[in-house]
Amino acid sequence: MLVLGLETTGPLASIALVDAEGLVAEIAFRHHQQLSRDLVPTLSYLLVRTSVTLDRLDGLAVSQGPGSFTGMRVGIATTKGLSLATGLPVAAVPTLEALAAACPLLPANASLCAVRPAPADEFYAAVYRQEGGLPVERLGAAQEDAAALAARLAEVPDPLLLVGEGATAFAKSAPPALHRRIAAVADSPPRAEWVAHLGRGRLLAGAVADARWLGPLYLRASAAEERRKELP
Amino acid sequence: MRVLGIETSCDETAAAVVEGGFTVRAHVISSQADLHATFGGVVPEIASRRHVEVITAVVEEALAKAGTSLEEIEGIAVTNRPGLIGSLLVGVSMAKGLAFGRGLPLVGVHHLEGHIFASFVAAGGPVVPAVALIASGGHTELFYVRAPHDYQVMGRRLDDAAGEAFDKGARAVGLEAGGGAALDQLARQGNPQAVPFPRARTDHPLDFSFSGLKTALLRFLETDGGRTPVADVAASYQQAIVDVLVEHALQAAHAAEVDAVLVGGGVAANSRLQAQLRTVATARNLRVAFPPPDLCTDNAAMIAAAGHSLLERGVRHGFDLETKAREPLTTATFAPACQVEVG
Repeated sequence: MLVLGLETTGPLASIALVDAEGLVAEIAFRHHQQLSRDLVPTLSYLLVRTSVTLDRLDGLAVSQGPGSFTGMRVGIATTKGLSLATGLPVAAVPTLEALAAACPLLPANASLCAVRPAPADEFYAAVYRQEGGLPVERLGAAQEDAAALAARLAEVPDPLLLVGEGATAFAKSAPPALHRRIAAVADSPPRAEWVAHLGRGRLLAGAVADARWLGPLYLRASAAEERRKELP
Repeated sequence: MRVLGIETSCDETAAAVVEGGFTVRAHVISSQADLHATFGGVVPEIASRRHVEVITAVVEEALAKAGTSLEEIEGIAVTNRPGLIGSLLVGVSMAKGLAFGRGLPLVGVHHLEGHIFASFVAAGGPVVPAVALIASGGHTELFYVRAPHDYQVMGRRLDDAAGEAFDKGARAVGLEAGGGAALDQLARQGNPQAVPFPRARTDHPLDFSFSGLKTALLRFLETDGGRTPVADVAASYQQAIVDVLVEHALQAAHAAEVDAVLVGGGVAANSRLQAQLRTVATARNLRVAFPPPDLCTDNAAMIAAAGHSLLERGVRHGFDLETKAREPLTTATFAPACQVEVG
């Protein structure tokens, strides 16, 4: 099964082809706010270079967030167009899970916290353990400040590893008790290879997303709606 | 040629199928007006979120209503400028996915050119040369339309757009919802001569300024203390906007020496504007083309029609098509291939 994966939720965008043997090809590029301009031309280039035509694909995988609002929408809207045009099934992959999937083999009890920067000095974070080389959720995704994330992490078993673009920033602001528990920090961004890999697994398991109504994982309502909730 | 059009530049998610240039096979609009009403204006992030949620369903509905499928579509047209960037990006990304997925030609359309084409759709073909008055919540501009895709700006807004003035006026007189359309309704029962609101003069006689009028309304309501019937205030306020729009449109037609006036944008649905412009135009032997109400406001039929015309002239945009929050509509904004064609 050949799957095309799109990762567009941060400053580094990537596009990957993955099959049963693993990665076929991947292009990653910093898009400098020109994601919409560069995404489909880069996809076109990747397919030409690998001599893969759209009719040879078996499915699409898209990084669903949380992350950049505009980035998520560009990736998902492009995927919706591709899916409607080709009839290809879509797998929606939570971006924090894709971050966790990129980690090498860990001890079974390890806690892998995927953490990305969110607006207003907050973080998007979720915690996973590893089973059969794949991430399994320990704590669900949330948008929270460093103190709230540190409090959630107090409950998970050691060793604790941090991965994602927010890893170092969070580690620096973590309280000393938590800081001592952190075994490793990797500031790596999410990559399409892992989005495609996890998406392929979902499609093989029959977990096809409803592409018609698919939307990003924002985790919160828009700022305007949040502000209104706070009004008396 | 059968063209699928997509429009997401503000708060309407729209898709349409147009055939043979000006025949609308189907057009679908999913309005977000209710979502934004309680915020007193369009909230860009809320608009973008809704667009990405409903875009597939809107495109599918347009195809189904047109009795067609993507297999029979020969080109994709999408609004790529001007507008809210986050909103534009959803439609443009969807259009690129569709066009790339099916190997179809893609063309980006200027939103205001779409409004001019709405008049052409209503008339069954291009009405040129003409002047076009485009008035909505975001725009108030006058163009000389020499030919399709050949435009020259004659007048522009200096502050509030006409539709914005209508909406703000509606709220000021106590109409909580419905904006300019509600003001239009209320004004039908009022005396348009009751209150002498100012008609703003601008340095350039064809430019528009409505912010002073809005201030005059607020000041009047304050000092009047509710003595004047609200329908009279609404009718007088509306008359002040309509007088300026009509006068400038006629001046532009005279200056450009054309005998046709095209009107587009949400304000074109205003009953007073339609009646008054038709009356004075008839007296001066001018043709006036108003699109039907559902083609006055933002829609994708006008985008598909403009895109159809561009595609027929050989205009093709790459998958690197960009979105732009602002860009004036002039001939220079079109591809050279197109200018040669219409020379």
